[in-house]
Amino acid sequence: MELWKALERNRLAMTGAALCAVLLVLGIAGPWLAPYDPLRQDLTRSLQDPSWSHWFGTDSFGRDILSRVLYGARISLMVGVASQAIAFSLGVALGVVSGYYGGRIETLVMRLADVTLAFPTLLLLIAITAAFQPSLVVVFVAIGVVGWAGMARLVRSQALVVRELDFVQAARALGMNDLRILVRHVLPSCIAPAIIAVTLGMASAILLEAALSFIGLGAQPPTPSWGSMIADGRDFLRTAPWISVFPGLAIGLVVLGFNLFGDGLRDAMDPRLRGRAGAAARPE
Amino acid sequence: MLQYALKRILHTIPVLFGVLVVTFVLLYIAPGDPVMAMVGDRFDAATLERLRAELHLDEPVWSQFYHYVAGLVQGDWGRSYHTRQPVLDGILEHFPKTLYLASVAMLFATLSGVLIGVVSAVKQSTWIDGMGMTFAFLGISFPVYWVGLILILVVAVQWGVLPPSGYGGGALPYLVLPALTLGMRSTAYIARLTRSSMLEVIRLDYVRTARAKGLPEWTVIGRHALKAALIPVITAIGLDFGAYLSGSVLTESIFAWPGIGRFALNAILKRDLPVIQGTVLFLAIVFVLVNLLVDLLYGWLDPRIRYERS
Repeated sequence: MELWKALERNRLAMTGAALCAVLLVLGIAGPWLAPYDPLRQDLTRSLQDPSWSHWFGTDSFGRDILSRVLYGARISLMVGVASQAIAFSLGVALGVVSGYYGGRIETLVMRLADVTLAFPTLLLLIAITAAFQPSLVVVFVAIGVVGWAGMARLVRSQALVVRELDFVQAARALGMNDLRILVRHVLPSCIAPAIIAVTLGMASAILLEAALSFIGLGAQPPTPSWGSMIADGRDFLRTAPWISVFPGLAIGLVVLGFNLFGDGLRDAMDPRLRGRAGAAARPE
Repeated sequence: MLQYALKRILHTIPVLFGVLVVTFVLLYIAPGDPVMAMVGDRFDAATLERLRAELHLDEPVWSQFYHYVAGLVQGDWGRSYHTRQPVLDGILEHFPKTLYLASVAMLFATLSGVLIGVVSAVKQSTWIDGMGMTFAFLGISFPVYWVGLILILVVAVQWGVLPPSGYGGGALPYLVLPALTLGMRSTAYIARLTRSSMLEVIRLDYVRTARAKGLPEWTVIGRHALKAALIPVITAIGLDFGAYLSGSVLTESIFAWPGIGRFALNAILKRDLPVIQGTVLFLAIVFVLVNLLVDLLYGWLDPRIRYERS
């Protein structure tokens, strides 16, 4: 695996991979690692400083912050995976088809992408989630559906190049049918940039979910989403800053992990792009 | 250039139409009856019927869309359910404050981002470069509203040197923290972009020639290399500026800045649908137009673009 060797040499990328791995482990095992029930209120223990019994302190309802941060990892992991699965399947399918066939299909798909990208991402998400009853499922789907456009543009431009290459022309000359050429030959050659985009897209998705939950349009109380936990702590910033500080650190570290890993992945897959800041995740 | 510009401008028209459709559909599918929201508790069947007809709600969808667009063009963007204020008035009242904040944030981000990027490129692979790029990665990874809260906690609450929030009539002390917060992501992004762009340019022949002529290093970097390296950076600045104008929702909410982002957010929390629809539409139009300007500027700065895209 040449790719893996190139990644292994990149210390930043390995740091990123480690941070992503931590999220994966916490997202799966969080509930067993958490010392307390993240929803259990105990008003006699409200707003306690970080201590040996509550490493990250407690919030105004006496809930253990560490336990809530651990449960929150699962939400962030889910939002990343679910939204990127939607963005990836929509974006790659529409991108490959419009790049390969061209013509009316291409015009239609690319105009739809233009309109999607014409909206500032966070604003469009706010408008969509506000139009429905706020819930995490709406957030997952909305982030995925908004994310397809960038992915489709990326894959289409790759497919435009690939369809002219000799081996695709050869396959066509041999009389292979379009579907088979698409799936067997064009798709694999277009997938690399999409995988990089998914990695960086995980970072965006986690940030966007946190932002929506912070505003109150994502996870509803008492669900421990990192974004809504930061919002919970706003009124106690002077007396109990740890309520907001720890979930914010968790978001930052996980997003940092995906950014570093995605960047390293791009350098390893396409050395020509080394060092380009390119498509790094940057919602508001 | 003219041909490129015309093409790019014509391209914007279907996009704007698509934007109109999306904002209309979002309101159309939103739950809740707008007429009930307007009349509140005191209503009778006749009033409801009259209001429905007035708002064209009894007509088919395409006809409603027509009346919606016709109203927009005539400056009728609807009225707030809560304050009865015309939506367009509210937008025009709050937008200048967002423009003010976004301009200062962008100015700060450009100056500091380019500076960090250039220094990191010149001192490539030293500890200075390491620090600069660590900041760049952290800056795009941490949520802005969280950084804003930490700044409030440290600078305003503990040190007490700046006011924690509010507009203060636009006075400078009130501007510092929101502008820093809003500009953070761009600073980090511009720093990375400037660095990688500089590293490419520094290796080009004409820069070597400038060095060979015996020009001082800072003239080579500042005058010759930077000019070419800044072209991609200018695009990033333009796009981020567009994003700030249209979506400083989080920063404005943290700092109680009375801009259009906070105006939109308040409307969302109160489910004031005409205001939501109006602000989203307005901000999307601003975003599209700023992007158009950036593209035209880019085409003018870098002639290769004009041919590639046409």
